[in-house]
Amino acid sequence: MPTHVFQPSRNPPRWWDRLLVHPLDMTVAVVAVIFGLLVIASLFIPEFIPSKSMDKMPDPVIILVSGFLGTGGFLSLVGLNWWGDKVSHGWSIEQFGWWLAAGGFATYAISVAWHYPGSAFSWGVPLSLGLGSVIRAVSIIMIEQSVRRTLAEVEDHKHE
Amino acid sequence: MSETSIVAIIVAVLALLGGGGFWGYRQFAKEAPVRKRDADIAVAEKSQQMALAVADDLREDYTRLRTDLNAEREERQKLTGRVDSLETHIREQDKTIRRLRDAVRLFTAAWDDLTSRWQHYRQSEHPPPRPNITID
Repeated sequence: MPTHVFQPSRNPPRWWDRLLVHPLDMTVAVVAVIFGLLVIASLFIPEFIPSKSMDKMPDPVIILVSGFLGTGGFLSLVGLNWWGDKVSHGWSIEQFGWWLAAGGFATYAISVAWHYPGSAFSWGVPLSLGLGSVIRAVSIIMIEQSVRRTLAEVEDHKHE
Repeated sequence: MSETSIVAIIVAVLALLGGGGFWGYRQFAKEAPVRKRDADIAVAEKSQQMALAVADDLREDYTRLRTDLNAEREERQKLTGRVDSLETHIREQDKTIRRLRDAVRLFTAAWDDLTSRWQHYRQSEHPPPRPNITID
């Protein structure tokens, strides 16, 4: 399986290395940010309607959904490209971001499905992105646990 | 379904996932921070474990191959023994066939002699001598 993950040779990796390791995670996070920004922009520019189903929703819901998507996408990107020494901080931010993005995608999917139930692709895609975000959040929790477990094992070996 | 209930569902989903995410964030913060160097060590340890697992698999493959090879070698030795005994058997049969041919040749010669000297043998007191043939 590691043969299917790009292995950067530079440490610390450059942004291009990060993109090659996480191309789809980065894309989904960027999509979430762009979607959040566009829907927020539509609140201030009445003639600009990026999503017909969101446009039919009350303003607080639009703010919530786009806020979750924008913030979630942004936090996911920050965590995914964490530059600090404490990587666990990057994990915590990223997983929080993915839960928010998952909420945003799922509720957007609910909104589209309610307004246009026949347009399965239009609500199926955001729903799938939401599911993917949840899986990514869970995988980060597992990465964190695995690293802590391995570190504990390494510590045990040192003391033996 | 009314718009109010959809809005309620949306708010509930957002509250659940947002709340869950924030709770996860707090749980992460409670643990001691993992530094980059330590995380790199953990990844290296995992790679080492994977390399060891690959080496173990290869060693198992090698052991299995060695067992198979030994079994094949035993079979080959058995077959060589059988081929040797068959070779001896065939050589003996060749020898017997050669002797039988010689005997047939001698009998033919004796018969020819009997035919050509029939007059002499008929008037003779003694029968013609027996061809000198010994077959084990």
